[in-house]
Amino acid sequence: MVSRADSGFQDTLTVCPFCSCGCGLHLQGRGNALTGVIPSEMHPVSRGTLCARGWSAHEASRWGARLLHPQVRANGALRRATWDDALAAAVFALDRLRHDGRAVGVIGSGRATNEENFLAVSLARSALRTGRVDAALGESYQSLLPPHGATGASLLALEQLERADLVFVLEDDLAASHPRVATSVLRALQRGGRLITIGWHRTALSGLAAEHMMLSATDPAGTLRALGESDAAALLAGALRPAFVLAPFDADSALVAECSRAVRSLAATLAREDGEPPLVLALPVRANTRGALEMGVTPNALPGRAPLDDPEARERLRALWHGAPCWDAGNSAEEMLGHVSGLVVVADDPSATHSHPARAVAAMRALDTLIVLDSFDTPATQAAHVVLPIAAFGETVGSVMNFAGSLQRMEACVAPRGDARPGWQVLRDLLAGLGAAFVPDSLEAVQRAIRVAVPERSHQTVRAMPAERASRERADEAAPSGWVLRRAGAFDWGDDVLVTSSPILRRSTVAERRQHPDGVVWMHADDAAELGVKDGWRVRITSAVGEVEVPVAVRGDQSRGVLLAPFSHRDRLAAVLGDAGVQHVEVSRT
Amino acid sequence: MEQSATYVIGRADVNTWLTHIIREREVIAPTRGAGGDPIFAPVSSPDDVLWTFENPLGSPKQFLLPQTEALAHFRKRDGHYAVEPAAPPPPRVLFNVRSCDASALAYLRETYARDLSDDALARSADALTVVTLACTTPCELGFCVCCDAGPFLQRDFDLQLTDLGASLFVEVGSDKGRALIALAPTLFRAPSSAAAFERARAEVEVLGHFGKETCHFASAMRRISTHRVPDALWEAMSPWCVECGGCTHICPTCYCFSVADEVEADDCSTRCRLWDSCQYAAFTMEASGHNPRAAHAERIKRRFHHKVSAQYFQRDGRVGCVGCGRCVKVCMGALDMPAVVAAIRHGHWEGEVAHA
Repeated sequence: MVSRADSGFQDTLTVCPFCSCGCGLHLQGRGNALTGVIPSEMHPVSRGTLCARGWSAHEASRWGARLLHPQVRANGALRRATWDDALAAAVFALDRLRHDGRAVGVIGSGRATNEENFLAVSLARSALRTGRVDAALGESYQSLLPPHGATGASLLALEQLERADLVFVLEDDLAASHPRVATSVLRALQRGGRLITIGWHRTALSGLAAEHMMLSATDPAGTLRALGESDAAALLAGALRPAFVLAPFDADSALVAECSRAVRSLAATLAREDGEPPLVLALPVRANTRGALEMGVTPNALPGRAPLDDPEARERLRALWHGAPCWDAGNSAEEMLGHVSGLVVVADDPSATHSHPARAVAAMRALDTLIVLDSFDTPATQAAHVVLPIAAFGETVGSVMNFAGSLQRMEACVAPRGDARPGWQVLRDLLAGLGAAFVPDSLEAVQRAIRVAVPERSHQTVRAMPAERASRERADEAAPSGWVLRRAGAFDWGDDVLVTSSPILRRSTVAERRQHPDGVVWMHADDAAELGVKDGWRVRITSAVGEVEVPVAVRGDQSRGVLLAPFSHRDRLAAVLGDAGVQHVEVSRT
Repeated sequence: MEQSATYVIGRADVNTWLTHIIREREVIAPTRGAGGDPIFAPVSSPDDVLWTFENPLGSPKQFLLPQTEALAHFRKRDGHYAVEPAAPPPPRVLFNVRSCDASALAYLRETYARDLSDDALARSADALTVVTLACTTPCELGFCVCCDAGPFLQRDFDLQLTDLGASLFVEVGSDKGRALIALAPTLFRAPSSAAAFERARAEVEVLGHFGKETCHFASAMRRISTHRVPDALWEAMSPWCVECGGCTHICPTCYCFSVADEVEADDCSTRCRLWDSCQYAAFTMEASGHNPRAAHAERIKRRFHHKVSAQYFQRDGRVGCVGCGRCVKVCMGALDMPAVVAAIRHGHWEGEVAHA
């Protein structure tokens, strides 16, 4: 870090905290306040570029509603407390639940560092003795990964992508979700490569595709399985250096797993001119979603993605954690809310990613014990019984892992605000309070423990995943005619606290939500014309589950007969969608 | 401004001179940043100053127009809110700035002084002394010759340095520049005719090395200013832009900003200016919800009209691009200035992909 003491100027090289591309950037500050960013030319991922979120990476920590002091709920209201009191209250509550044998869960985060996530796993499996540990969006990311063999980790993934002569992209909107990867796709096109895009609707990238296909709203996996007979088949067959990009496109993990299998099966039938298998990139949403998985923040694997019954993994962890850790499987982050009495949440707000945000908030408020470690005030902290403020991006040191498995160091540019402490320290203090044997005394000690628990290169090899989860009930596939309502997308950055805390970034998402205060569904222009509705008019949507009236946005870039509910407005359509991501519906003018 | 004067200073004496300046002012120069990138940053020792380098990707714009800048504080006193201007920056010297960046700083000063003067930027400009290091070789991506912004300048500097090897040729552009020389006057002497000749030769030589990099700005300006660029061209370009805003942030002449209030306590808040980008979708959104540039293509069109068209050239007296080449590096898509200028001149976008 470059620091000029008399001028108060700081320059630190760190990693962007938003998506999983893992771009490097210079974070700069003056007088202990973050002031801006500069791209890093020498950084192997970003090479002098930054997307809109990266350019505002300095804003959230400074402008967000920061948690400055520990808080404990008393008589229904959160009150400021000392660290000792707040930690004691948290430990007391968790210990009581543990003693009474009641269900407790831990939610780690793609926004937390590897060290924070590993301690969250230690808290779950060794101190609280539960297998209920997961991160939001972790399950759907795992569903994108191959069930067997290597994850395809390659530190040269982007360079390989830029040299592809055929790029296949399964997306919701790659240029919006992972701009740096979209850049590599553009570079491949500039070199003469061709593009096939598949998604729920047209996007900026699909405008450049040689073939664009719409995912079937009712059977998206079927669309992908049929690729071999589609118009794209000739392009695929003729490719010398094909590359596949699996971007987050849906929140239903079972569906994502099915689609991922279909694409990987197709990729397995192709070979590159050098004899190597085609490149297949699976992109998690958030900066450290992959790192969280590697640290064991998942209910169905141990650190290093070792199977729960792996004797060597268990031995390594027993040596570290001692006692009788829990090796059981557990609930996913989304399921957990309805199945536990107590919950510890690290650096996240479950309602921001939940498929039913209002339900998530209600579930959090109904918990017997909710302990939240975060830097920002969110619906989760507002529902919490104990709030523990931790250092934010730019204030915290730790490691993160991007989509390609590249391990990078996040550096601190300024000191934590108020009484906030480094997240790893707070988790360590919870472990100590609960009588855990593993109580690291430094960040380096946590990193040493990780090297013990997660063997080298474990992120490059994967053993067999456990048995597939039963697929959820799907909407009746019988009638191709009639309307289908489909929730599109896996995540909306506009719901994320890093964006809502940034004055520049939140502007477009706040504006969008203000323009649609009653929600919105997207309808094809020809459908709208037939139905006799214009842009902004309301329609009544009825399903077997319920009914809602909602305005339409008339567009020309999606399938006929399909209403798309953008992820940002999923709550508004909850009454009609129920637990499914898709429903057959009737649509009428109001 | 007094009649400009010229000097030479021995290469071995430069660090002594810099030591004097560092004692009196905050000196910002190209230096090695975290991870090895060259950056502009305050230096505490002359040894930290880089002399042979690629122009840092982050321009010195941030020291005149910061990415986050406190403008004024609102404090409640006796029941009333008082407005206090934020503390002005300390006296600063920007040292070893390239000609393109110095032209850009002058452009920003003039832009913010036009019509209603911006106090904050005017104060920053007053506190700033600009010492340029003329470019004796073209940089890899630059096209300053097309924008009248380099490689040597006749104006827009307080001091212009030319590296002659054993010495630096020093041209004084203002009283501020003169004041820096006065900090260590014994180190400077009048140039010999050989030195003056070397200085002139350096400029002629570097001009001869510009070739393919040039950007034919003038012909693009003629086309765009006479309605010969169809809207379809901007629409063809838009899939090749991922709306990162990098071009506007990195551009040393871009100056759009937003304003936000930082609330420190119930009785105290600070109004800040933040870099913004005309390429962002909601940049022009109005309170009613209407957005004059809702379409991506319209935002792209606006950017290049601002940079390239004659109306702004005539209003501003200079081109809105200094040819630094940073947009070429920073663009996540394919819409850097040379590529767009070529598209404007040829009438079609070369990035179009041939479909099957």
